[in-house]
Amino acid sequence: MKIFFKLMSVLIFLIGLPSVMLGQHNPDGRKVSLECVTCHVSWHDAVNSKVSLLPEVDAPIQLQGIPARIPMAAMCFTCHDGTVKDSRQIFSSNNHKPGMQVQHADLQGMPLDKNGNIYCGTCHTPHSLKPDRIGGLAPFLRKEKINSALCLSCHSTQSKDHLNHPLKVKVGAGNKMAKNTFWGKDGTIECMTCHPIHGTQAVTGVQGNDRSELCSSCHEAYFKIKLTDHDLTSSLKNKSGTIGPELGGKDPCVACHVSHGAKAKHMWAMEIDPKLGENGYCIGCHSNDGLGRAKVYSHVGHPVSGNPAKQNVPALGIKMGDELLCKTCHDPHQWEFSQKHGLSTANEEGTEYTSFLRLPDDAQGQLCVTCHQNQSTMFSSDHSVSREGFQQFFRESNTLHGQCTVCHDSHTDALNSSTGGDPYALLCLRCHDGEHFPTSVVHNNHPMGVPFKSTSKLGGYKKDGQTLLSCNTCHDPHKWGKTVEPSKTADLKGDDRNSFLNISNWPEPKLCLDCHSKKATVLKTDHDLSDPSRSACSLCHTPHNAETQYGILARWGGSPGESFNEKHCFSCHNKDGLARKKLVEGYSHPREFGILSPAARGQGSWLDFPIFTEGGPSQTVGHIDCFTCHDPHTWSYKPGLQKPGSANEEGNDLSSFLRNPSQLTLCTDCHGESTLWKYNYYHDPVKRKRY
Amino acid sequence: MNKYLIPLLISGISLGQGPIVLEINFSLVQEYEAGFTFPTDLCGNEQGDVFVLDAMNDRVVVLKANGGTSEIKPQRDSFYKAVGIAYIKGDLWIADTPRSRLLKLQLDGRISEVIKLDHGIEPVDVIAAGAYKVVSDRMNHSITVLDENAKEKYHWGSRGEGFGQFINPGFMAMAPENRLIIGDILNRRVVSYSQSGRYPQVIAKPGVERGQIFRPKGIDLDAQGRIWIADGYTGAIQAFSVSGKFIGIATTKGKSIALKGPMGIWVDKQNRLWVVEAFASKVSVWQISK
Repeated sequence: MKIFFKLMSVLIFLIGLPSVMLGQHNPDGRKVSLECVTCHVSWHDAVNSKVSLLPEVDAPIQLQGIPARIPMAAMCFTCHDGTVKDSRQIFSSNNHKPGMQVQHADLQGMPLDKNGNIYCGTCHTPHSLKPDRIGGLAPFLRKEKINSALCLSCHSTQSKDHLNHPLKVKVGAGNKMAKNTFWGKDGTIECMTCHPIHGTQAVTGVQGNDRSELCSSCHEAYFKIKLTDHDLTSSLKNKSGTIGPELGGKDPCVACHVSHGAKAKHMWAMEIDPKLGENGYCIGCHSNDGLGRAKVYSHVGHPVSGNPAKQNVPALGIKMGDELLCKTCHDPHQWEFSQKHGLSTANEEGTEYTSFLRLPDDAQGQLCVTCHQNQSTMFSSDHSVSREGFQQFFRESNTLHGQCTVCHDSHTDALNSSTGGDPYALLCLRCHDGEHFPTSVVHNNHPMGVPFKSTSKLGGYKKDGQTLLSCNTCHDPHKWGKTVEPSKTADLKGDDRNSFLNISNWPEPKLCLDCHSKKATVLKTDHDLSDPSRSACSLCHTPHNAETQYGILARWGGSPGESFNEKHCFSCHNKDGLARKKLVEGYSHPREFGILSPAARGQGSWLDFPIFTEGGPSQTVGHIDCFTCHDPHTWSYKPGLQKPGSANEEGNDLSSFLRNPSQLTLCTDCHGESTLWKYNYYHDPVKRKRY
Repeated sequence: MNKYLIPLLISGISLGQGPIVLEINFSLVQEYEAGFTFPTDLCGNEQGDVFVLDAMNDRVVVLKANGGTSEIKPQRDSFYKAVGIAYIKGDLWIADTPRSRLLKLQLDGRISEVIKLDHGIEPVDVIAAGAYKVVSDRMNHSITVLDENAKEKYHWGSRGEGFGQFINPGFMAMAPENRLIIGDILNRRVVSYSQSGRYPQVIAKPGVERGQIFRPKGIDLDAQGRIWIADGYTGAIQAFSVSGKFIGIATTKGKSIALKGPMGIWVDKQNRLWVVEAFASKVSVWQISK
């Protein structure tokens, strides 16, 4: 019986052999295992076409355009439908789902379906090493995803530096990306960090066009931009320019940055003018046609492009040699440096604390002194905005009142008052106007707006190619004194040693002599009245609020004399004055007769023998006064005798501060032969009348 | 004896099947899309209502006998990526696959019972076997039988190609005499067993020709005792006898029907076959000719 069963088994087995020996071969004719046809259904041998259930699809997949007999997406789904593995979520995703058009992509050897669309096998292959093995590519990928190699096979153009979000950069541990975020090796950004290939969202955390959630996960600090004027989604919601993006429903970043396919560096969304360099990113909007035209860039103020930094400035991230740029001072992402100040409305006017400044121009002038440390001496001087009254004054004036911005405007001119004319005078007179602060400079000042020749090339204001004298010619408002300690007292009365002078005027009057070098002859003469706080010039001259405009002669109080010449001279040459040893007994040439000046007579310069009127010197007709014969700056008209041999040396007709020898005077017109007598004894009331 | 009998059975089936083709005419009655997203299974009740597991949308869609539709959204708890559903004694039982649970979902949406399955079981399908419930498990490639209290009574099966082994058991149906008909997906066959996993009977063997199966998915029996099996790849619907004889293939207009990713099926009292076409996210209803 056993033998019968054995024989029957063999017989039946042989009869059934054809059906169990069908086997399977790959397209190359190599016999393959039964496992292969689990997916490679077309590799079944001897399928009777009359009873075949295989779909009537020829070579559904193409590899580099060549038909390949490998399974299509429907095969994948037969397992990944939840019964074996579950990829329904992936199939239902809009991202990279089978059938997706990929004509735009630069494919590199990735298989596509017969219509040229991607399918599961474009990226996946069950023949990759198992994910848990060394070198395995989870989840059965054709290339690595850890370094974005798979994605870049098709999207190579979307990894170009600067025009796309960078890859392989490490993200700080404080990022707020979801826990299941894909990171590259060592926590770097890869394509899939933001692009969940099979997620329900095309990009992680992106709702519609708004990438706020995604971008802020890593760039939270930049989201200080929200609700500022640079958040164009709010500030320019209903506006548009010929330059600039469409903003409808998008995030604050997209106005300037796009993640892929940028037009310029920094993932810049807009075309920029390459000639403008880095500043082009700002000027693109801040131009007459741009979205930021309300704040048009017109740079006549602080120098930027082409100006390398002269030192390292860590506070602004500047290294010596770096080109100064808009972003050197401005951080376009934060309206106020410490975010203490919240915007109340879009298009709010900025202040020295806001205005997208990286640091404020506060009482310490933080922003400006990062580079201009030398100017910080001003902060403890009378020019500090911290002094009493300044803050209120400028607040009422509705002007910026930071330590530096009170005078300087980086974007209109070097000074905050460039409305034409002399900007320095205009600026200084805002305070020194005789009304608001004690130091008034409202009348009889040193001539302004005139050309001058300065040994030290002192500044001024430029006009028509000339440098004209202005406040800044003599003053540096940042430094109270160059030879003494800075002022710590408000309204300190200044002198030649301080007073914000560009060049110290003490002990020698170097500032005055820088232009008036010929007046140096006064030094060491009896008219050199310098003392421990006053230079040789300052007893007679004062540059502001002088008694006369001519000569800016210092005040003489109740000094005797009828003309300003006399008053001025007699302020010393009186019995109680400094020059009491040289009293002038006779003086006062008759004034009822007009005298022609040498220039009017055609006999030289009016300065050879200046004549005066009540208002000052006259180049044509006037009267004789002290300075007609005397030049108080020069002991002798002969150069060799200009310096006296000793103090209070007695003069003669060659010295005595006489301007010229007697023969050059005009006296002979009236006095004829008696001229010499009258000239020599002019101050002797008895002798001068002898003839 | 067994070592001779098994190959005998296999060979016998082979011998019994030839190129003779039997076609069973199907006519399309209706199609439902109802916002499905890759639905997987369906079941019906005595009233003719059909319950479609639209798990990717966390719901069951009711295709009512009167033609209307409604949905059952689970209250408090939920399911996601569940695969199998069964209507058992007035309630819906859901194989909450990735969460290793069976859920008893009442028709009002209340989840009245949550059965946590041991061994990391990931249930694909659940069916009633008398007072018991049977669960197919894609993780352990096994079958688990739960008693009337939903406690595990025993489980059997392992990964492999032999009888009593599976490579991903999937959808199941109960045949007379408590025979469990199990789709052995990646072994590409349908085999019936006793409830304890013994006495295998090949119903459909591997292949891509008529009378063969490539990806067995939905299984159900009609009133005549025919075992209807959906092929998830070829899209064919074929009928077999409980003894494994190929009865015929569903055709329409002279061609075998090729559904798009057919999964769960159900044959109602009107001899209509309801089938989930998962890849097309729809349900189609076919009238089976007499």
